[in-house]
Amino acid sequence: MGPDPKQGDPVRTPPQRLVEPATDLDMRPGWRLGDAQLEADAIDYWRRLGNLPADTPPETRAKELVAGCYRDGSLIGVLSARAVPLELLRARFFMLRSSVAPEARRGHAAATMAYYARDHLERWAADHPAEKMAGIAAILESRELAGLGRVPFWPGTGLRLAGYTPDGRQIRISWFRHYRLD
Amino acid sequence: MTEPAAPDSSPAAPDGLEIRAAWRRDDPQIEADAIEFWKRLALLPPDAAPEQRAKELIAAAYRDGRLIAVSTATIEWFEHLRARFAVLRGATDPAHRRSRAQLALAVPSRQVLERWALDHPEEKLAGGLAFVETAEWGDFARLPVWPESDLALIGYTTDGRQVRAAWFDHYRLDDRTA
Repeated sequence: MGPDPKQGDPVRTPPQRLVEPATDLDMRPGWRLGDAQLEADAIDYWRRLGNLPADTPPETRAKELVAGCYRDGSLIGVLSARAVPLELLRARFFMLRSSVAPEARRGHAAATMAYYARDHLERWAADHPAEKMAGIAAILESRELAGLGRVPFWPGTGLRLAGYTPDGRQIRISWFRHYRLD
Repeated sequence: MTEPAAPDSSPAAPDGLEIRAAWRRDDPQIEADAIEFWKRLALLPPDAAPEQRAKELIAAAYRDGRLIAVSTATIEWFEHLRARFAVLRGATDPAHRRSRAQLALAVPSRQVLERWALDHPEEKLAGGLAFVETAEWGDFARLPVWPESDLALIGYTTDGRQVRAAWFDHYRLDDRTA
């Protein structure tokens, strides 16, 4: 038997967030909420930007919304997720996708959405233990990341580098605090 | 970010344990104690020379002046993460298995290695890595992230052991891997 993890040993102080959340944005939760207004806004957003793959109907993607990011009442970013098994880790993760309108980039919207989404999904997972969701994950598109991609652990979301896809993109994961391995 | 301190010893460790740092210090007393510990308890595989393993000591846990547990590491390239890691090992005197000595070693061992990595940037040491036999760790192995060391599950070996990795806070990936 190993040591008892519930005992109160000193725990290292985690580093500070690399990017502070924006204070001029309003986050709207979406995961499994059937929020018709958010879905309609998101569908309009994707159609306006034309940034969904051709084979992805926006109405389908709208059902995967985790959060919408509004500035002055306009949707400027969305974060969606799919629940997928990661064989590498023998567990189910929320695979995140994030999009920010070109005119709103460099305003910390992506980080703000990611922080919000992690908390939102972690609470949902804790409230739905039968779903056995272990954490969040992301495949990094490095062109959007600049220097952040060189930092292996992101304190704000807990996303850490855990491997690479066959085509060389980073696989990042963050385990939920309540989750226990089988 | 807070830079890690590298304690020489940690008398405040739980359960009356004293933790002594050993990484790259060639401390003859700790090395001799460790060699005696490994030989007495026959804890090393037949092909591992205690004198060589002693050069891999990170830290040792003492109780009442007697060495009861050690942490050791070798620095190896880990292709899966495309970086160099300290591959961690631990050994505890079976009579002290419930002493939580390995837990007491976890924080100072990380601090010692991280401090050394900061002082030796040419080594490009990215963090710590452990291969964990789940049966040996009981409920602790069910935690995806170990809070003391930040060792997080990132995969499994082909024979079913957990692969856990902890990145040092200061480390940055090479441009070609980022």
